[in-house]
Amino acid sequence: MSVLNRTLSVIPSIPGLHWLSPAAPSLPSRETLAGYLDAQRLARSAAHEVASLVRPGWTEKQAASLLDTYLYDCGVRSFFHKSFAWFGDRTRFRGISKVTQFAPSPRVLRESEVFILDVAPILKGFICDIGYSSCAGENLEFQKAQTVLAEIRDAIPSLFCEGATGKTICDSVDGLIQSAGYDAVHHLYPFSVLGHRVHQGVSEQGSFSLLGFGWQSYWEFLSRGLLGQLLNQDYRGKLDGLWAIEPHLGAKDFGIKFEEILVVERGQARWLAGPME
Amino acid sequence: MTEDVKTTELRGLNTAWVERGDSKKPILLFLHGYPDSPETWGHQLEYFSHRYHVVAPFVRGAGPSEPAKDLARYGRESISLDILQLLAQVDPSGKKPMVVFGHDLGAVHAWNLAPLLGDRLKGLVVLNGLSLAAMSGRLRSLAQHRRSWYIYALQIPWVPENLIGLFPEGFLDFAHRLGGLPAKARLRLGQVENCLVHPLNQYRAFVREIPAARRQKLARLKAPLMVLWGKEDPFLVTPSAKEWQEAAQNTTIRILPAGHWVHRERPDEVNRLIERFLEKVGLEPLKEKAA
Repeated sequence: MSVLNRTLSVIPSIPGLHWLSPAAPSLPSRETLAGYLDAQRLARSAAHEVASLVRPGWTEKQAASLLDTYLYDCGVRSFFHKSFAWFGDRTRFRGISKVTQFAPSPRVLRESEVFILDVAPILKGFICDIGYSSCAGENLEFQKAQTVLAEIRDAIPSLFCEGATGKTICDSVDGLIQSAGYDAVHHLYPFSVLGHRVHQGVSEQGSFSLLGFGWQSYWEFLSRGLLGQLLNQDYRGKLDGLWAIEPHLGAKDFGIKFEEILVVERGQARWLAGPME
Repeated sequence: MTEDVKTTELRGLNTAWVERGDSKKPILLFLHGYPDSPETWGHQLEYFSHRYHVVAPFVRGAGPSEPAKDLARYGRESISLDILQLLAQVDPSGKKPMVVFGHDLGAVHAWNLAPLLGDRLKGLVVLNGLSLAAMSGRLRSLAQHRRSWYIYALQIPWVPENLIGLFPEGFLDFAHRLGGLPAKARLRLGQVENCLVHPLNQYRAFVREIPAARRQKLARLKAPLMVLWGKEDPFLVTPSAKEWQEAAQNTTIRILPAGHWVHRERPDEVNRLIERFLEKVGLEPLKEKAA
């Protein structure tokens, strides 16, 4: 465990923080799930609608800005993170080596290129985080990768069985990706996360953000010790609760991902909604 | 024109547009300014709807386009998103070529929309209007400041909307007189019904967006640009050729002896110039084959 990880793991034991950021109940109520579902539906409608408008010639900045505008128009005032858009080779994080380079860039989309939209609004206190991949025109390689990603989506709930750990889950997902001939690009995310917890009762006051992430995301993660909030190889805690899962696979010239909320209860996991819901 | 009005719900608000002509033909998209409605393009819609698919949205808060509580809904991004979503309804293929026309504030929206249309945009026609970036640059000039006094007046909360709401006819007459529009070319109050109060929020939204517009580096427009400018416009200083050449790679400028509403004051001449521009950009509708 690195020095950074050790330092962060001390945070949850700071007196008073549990009172400020209470742990989410591991078995969410029906009302809670409905709140997350509303947030996820809105995020998906923004991503699907803007993806249908994106065309060659757009820049990542334009797409991300229109996503934020869409969400703002629908009542969102704060974000877990501002919208991300990655085009072409940036979808497999080629050329991205610093955290600042994840931000939407002036990169222009070209015909047949793949793009990813990643949207994370806070709606009525519920954090949601979704990812959506699409393509500007015909691209058979993209269609092939989408089929593999859909198979991985189907397989993921069964990986959260009793006794599973971050390592078993991440190794299984990596195995599925690699056996299909792709790279596991999610290892390039900060902390190599395959997913992260989502929270409710989150403040919607203020829209200050740093590196694209709203102050709420830093607070919700850091005040709970960060490490227990991130699903990666090092995660060893309970799996019950809600996770935003984001497997990201990389082909030669592009990457694709999906991201959506997984509900885990007593060794049983299910997606919060169907793929098109 | 009422029978041509269509509506749809966009991000929770009803949004309306006028649509005429054959939906298989190329699109001519007409964006109106303030205080106006799609009726301002009446001469152009009539003239071109026989050969093109003409579409003229009511801007947010105008007529049947539902007003918004939030000022951001009158901003450039939100209105661009309205128009893009509306275009997705009138052209589900998203592939039909189009030329976009913008007058006054409609030109702000046209400039913002242009880079989002990709290669389906075959041309942009601007009539007495600027991009927000150009307008913010011009506010360094005292001459433009003097002509833009009304923009500052409209920033006062509550008063302008209530005064205009009380005296809509007087306000419309005042604006038309000031803009040098002859009486016979003016729209009647009934033609801009419910278009005078809420859309003025565009000026408030734009003023808040000026700092961002100054920082924004606009890519040079690749599609051909035609500027039709009434040189007696009391609201905008006549731009120099250099100003436009920096904004677009291929620019045609026609300065006409008219006021702010050049397309209403000299409709025949404007239609002819538009026709020639459409030929130049290759947007002639296919001629019917002889039987």
